[in-house]
Amino acid sequence: MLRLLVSNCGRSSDIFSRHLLQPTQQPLPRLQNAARLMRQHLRGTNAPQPPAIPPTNASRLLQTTRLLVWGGGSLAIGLGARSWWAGHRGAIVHCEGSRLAIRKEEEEEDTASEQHFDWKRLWTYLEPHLWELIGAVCAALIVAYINIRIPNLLGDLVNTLARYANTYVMDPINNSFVKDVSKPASNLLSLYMLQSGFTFMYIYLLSRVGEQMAAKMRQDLFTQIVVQDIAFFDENRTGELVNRLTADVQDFKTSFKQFVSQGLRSAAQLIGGSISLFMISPHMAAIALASVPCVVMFMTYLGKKLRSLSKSSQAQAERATGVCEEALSNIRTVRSSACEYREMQLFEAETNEAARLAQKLGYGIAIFQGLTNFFLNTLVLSTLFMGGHLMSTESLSPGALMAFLVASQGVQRSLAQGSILLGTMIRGMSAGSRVFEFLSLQPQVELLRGYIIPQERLHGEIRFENVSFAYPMQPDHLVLKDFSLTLRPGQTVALVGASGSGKSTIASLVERFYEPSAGNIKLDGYKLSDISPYWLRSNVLGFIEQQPVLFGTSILENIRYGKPDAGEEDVYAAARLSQSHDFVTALPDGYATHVGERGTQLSGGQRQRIAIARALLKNPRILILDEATSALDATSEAEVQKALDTVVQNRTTLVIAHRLSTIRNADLIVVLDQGRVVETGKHDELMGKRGLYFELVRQQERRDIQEQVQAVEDVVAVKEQQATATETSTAATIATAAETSAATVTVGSSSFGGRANAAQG
Amino acid sequence: MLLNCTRLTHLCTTLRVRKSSQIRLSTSYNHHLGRCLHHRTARSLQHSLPPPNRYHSHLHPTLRMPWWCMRRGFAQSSKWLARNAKANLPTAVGAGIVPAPVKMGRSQYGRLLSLTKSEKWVLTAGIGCLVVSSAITMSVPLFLGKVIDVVFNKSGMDSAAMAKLGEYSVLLFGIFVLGGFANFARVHLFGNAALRIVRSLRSRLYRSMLMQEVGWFDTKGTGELINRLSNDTLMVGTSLSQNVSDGLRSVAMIGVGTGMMIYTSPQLAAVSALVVPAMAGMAIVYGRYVRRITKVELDKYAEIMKFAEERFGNVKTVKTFCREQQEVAAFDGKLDEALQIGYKETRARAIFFGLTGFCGNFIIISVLYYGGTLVLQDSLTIGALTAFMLYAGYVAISMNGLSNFYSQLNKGIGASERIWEILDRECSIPIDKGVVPLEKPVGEVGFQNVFFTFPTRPESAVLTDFSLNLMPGTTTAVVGRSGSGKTTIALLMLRLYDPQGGTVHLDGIDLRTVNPQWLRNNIGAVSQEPVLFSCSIRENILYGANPGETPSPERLQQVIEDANVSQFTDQLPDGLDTLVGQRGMMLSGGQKQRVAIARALIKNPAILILDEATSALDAVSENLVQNALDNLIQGRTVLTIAHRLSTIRNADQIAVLSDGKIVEQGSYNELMGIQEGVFRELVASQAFGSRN
Repeated sequence: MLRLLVSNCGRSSDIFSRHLLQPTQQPLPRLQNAARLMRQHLRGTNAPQPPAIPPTNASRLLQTTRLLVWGGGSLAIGLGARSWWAGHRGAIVHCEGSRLAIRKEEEEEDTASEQHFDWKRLWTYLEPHLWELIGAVCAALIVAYINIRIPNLLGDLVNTLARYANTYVMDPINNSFVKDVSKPASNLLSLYMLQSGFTFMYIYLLSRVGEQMAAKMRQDLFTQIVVQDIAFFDENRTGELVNRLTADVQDFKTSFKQFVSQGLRSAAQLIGGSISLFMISPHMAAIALASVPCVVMFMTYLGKKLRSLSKSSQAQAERATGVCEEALSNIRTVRSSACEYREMQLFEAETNEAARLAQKLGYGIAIFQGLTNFFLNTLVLSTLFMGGHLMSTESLSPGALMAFLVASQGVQRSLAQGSILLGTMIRGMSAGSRVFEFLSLQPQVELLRGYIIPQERLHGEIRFENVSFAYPMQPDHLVLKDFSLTLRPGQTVALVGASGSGKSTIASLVERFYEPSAGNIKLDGYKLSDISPYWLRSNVLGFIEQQPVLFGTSILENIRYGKPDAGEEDVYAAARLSQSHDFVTALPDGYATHVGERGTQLSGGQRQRIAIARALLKNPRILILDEATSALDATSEAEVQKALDTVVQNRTTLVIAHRLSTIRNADLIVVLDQGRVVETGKHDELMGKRGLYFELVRQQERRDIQEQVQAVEDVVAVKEQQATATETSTAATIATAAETSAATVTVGSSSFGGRANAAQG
Repeated sequence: MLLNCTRLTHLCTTLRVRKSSQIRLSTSYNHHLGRCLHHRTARSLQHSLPPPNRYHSHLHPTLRMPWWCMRRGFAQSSKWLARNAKANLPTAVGAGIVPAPVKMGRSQYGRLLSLTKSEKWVLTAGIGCLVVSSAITMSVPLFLGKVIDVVFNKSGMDSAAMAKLGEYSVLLFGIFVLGGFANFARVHLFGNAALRIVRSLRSRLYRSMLMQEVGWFDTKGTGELINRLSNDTLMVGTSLSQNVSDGLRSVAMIGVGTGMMIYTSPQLAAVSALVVPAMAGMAIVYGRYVRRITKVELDKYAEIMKFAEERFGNVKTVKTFCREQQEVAAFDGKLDEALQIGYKETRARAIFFGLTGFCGNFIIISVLYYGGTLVLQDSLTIGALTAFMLYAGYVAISMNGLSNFYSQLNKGIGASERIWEILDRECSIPIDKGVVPLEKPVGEVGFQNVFFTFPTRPESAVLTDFSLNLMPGTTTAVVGRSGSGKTTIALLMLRLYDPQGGTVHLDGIDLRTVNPQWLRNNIGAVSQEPVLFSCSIRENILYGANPGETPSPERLQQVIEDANVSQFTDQLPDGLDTLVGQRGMMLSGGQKQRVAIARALIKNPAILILDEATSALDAVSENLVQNALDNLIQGRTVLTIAHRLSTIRNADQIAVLSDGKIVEQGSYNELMGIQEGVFRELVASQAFGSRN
């Protein structure tokens, strides 16, 4: 780091900094009269700093300011700052490049598997609201009809005006004029009121349909995501899933509502208006509409281009969301590593790409609208020319021309609406196809499909037969190779081995989070792949993870998560069993205490005990303990272990642990190395083999014995220093323990070790 | 359970609203006193614009049109905004006395507009194209009126009429070509500018989020924050992109149409103007309602996404306990609540659109009736009446467009208010401010009478009257039961939280005054449950390097061997480039801890915090890593939090924690000498507990 003078930021520094920041707010130059009013708006609402300045520049500015303040304006400081930022940028580019490269590969795969819009699925969402939709469509059509009728009534009015304008008559004629005009005028007023009412109706009904459809779509999307295999979640970031639930469904809903309300009405007015034009003057209508087919073909061609652009744009937005979600979810690690700016740079790169793609889409839409606008204006021009010609030959009345002009104006507006809606519709179809993409996913493991073993035939025997497994994301790396193992009913089997030898993978396979690549796993003779996972996890398996996860609710709700219909007394009993009750009741809010997001408000040991209570609540037949007590202190671990020893009676138990004290009493110990079983047997048998287990035990036991000897010696020494006489029995007990431990240290052979273990037992 | 969730939801919402109010007041106070160095609030204390100047001239219409449209368009827009500002501020007493909600109402518009400052040139060009496009559209009725007058005036010869008609047609064709280009440019410029504005807004929002202290994240779900980054900014984007473009066009056409109406017939224009007060009134009422309901709706969706994000992030637990069906039902319930809120907004919008459409159409019917009488009195030609009616029609159409613009604008304001909440928040622990000492820290850490509670549980004290000194180059071990506050000490040392009472010092400097980034660059932390990011092992380790530094390959290799990472990476097909999955779920617990240890060591910190750093390792790995750590801690200040005696026996001093206090402190031998001491009981339980 740079060597800088230590200095507190005082008032003078503030003034100095404020002075430095002033140049960034440059006065707006006066160029055009047109821009003056807009600039007055902007000047009246001074922003803290122009948003156009990227965060990097802002950070550099702050850094430079601080350096100048502390260094007193030294030039060397400036050079140092520049070089520091150069290095900083280099590091950031490296990190971004790697992560972006990974994402680009995924993007290519996404492009290859692009799907067409599923209209049938859209219909399944609309069908429940069919009557409301029909009502909205009818109301929109009525509004369109009224809009078509208005030009004719206007024509009648103009004809009346023309007739009276050409002939001046006496006052009685004025009364006749008022009488003649009032009829078409009142008709027009009635139509306007009807139009207002039906506008209200179709907007209200259509919005209801849109909102309900979006809610149902989100529900189905959530359902479909949550039932997917665990491998699905390995491949998709949480932020990306959340983005589909929010932005994509929102885009689709907005597009749907606009399409039906404005698109449908515009289409109806387009057709009706065209018919009106032909009825008024077939010649003019034919000329005016001759070029429509060309426009339609152009729209179709451009629509395809815009659709693919829209999909790329939204995929990029999802990617940006995934990046920020991961940083925000792990804010403690980001903060501890002082990497906030790095995360900002990464997010900025992703959002820049998203903005670039969206701009390309906007460019295409702009071209389309510009050309459509030109076409429509030409339509008006031709109408004007032909209308004037026909009027000069008196083959068209003024009212008819007026009606034609207003009707063609309606057609023009409908086509203009269509061009605007094209962008909205394309965006909505892309969003919808991305939502439907997940709705069409089928999990490899169906939750409810499968066999349910009758209670009388359920014993709890688990058998692995030549199982091999590799994670889907790393298919080249076999975690388990030709693994075979049988857990008898009521038996406690312990798995030991180095980190990464596949112990936790075995637990995941039993839980059916993944399917084995080869071999079979059976429960009481039935293949695990034939058994209903829902029933398996509800009634048979209890799983306590190495790093248990709690939800952001109360302790009571977290424990009750294991069995939703459990009463409070059952929850309390499970908590006592896992040694949770004492610390929970010591909290001010007791069981109502909120644990924070992912349980961050509790310590690791507290979280583990709650997880144990949650698993015990459902009284599972088979128990899987994956380092269930690794975060507990010695006293708590002893107490919980005692409780677990009681719980595992008559239960098939699979224990994964590093501390050998928790597995010494297991019925069977299996030693794993690189995904293979290298030793099996009881503790005494394995010790006799002097293999890998022997080495593990010896290393740990040596350390444990050292600790015990030291502790015992310390305790004895302290007590011997006491002048107070002690009871003979107590002294005898301590002396015996000390003698035993000393003997263990002295004698190194296995036979003496065995005797010492027996004594300890 | 649903009832309980609902009650908690309401409580949470209430708290959120209250917090927002407090933040606003704080911001206003800071701004008023001028103490804030970097203003986060765009505020327009006064919104005065020159009154529109009515112009009446007999110059040629073609030459007059562009300048007239330009002036009237902006004047109309300014008047409209000013009117809304005044409506939001009925009583202008004084700047300091005006209540916060009213002031916020006015600044919402200003703040939303301030987002466009960076795009002022692009928007200016877009507005220029808008003026051209609107002027061309509005020229049609004028020419049409003249054509009708020519046709109705039969005194001229046919050939003369046709020549005039041809002349007008040729002129219009050229204008239409120009109009097509102007329309293209308008959509393109406005659209791109809006996209850049949204991107900048998201970037600023994300930066503001990352700047907040860890305690703030305890009160916010990440799903909620992501919802603001995606959905809320999307709403603002919709409000600023097509909505602004179409809204400005509507405003311009209303302005120009009104001007042409007055020019053609002041009497008819006066009749049409009767509708304006009703329109304004309805707009004010509707705007307030939509703004409020939009915010409520978005709050509900944020809650929904927080729920979904937590389930997706912890899907293994959901599946372990077969809770998919219950989770779906809970999600459905929340969506139904959001649906009811959406219904309210739908009904209000439908009413507003229906009424404004009717008001716009009322202009036409009144014009037709009154105009007819004028024609009979020969004070108005049929052509002029026709042109006026077309202009009135355009104004009616544009009023509909304006109502849509207003609706979208208020939705955008409702969404932006939720964004301002975060952007305006002053984080209590800054990221990159404070003293940066000249040299690396010596490493003396002192806690003086520290009192601490978590923000989400202020009534539960984690540390009370806690005092402890870590001398440079020494190892201090903290022991105690689970939940006694050991990990909290590490969080305070890293300054992820600030204590409510007492102080934490580093080399005699209060941590509150030290630059947190510098502080964390010099502290390496390995937590009980390390979190990895979903990239490769190599990148996860390099993540620990200080910003701006790039470790050499030799340094990386050394760290990998010291932390025993190479032992398992050598056996992976992709080696260090193996992807670890989301939150590192592709690695085992022991592997994750070793990667985390390497990540902490890569920066060669002066202070090391080991929070159960080896709890997930097997005996062999633990010995290897412990030996490496023993070598590495030489010369460093180390804080060890552990349950096992083997890792704390050699500590220079041991502090025994119980219920947030230090009950015993000293070396191993000293603590063992305390009769009936807590530490001795812990040691005895471990020694004799093993025999059971």
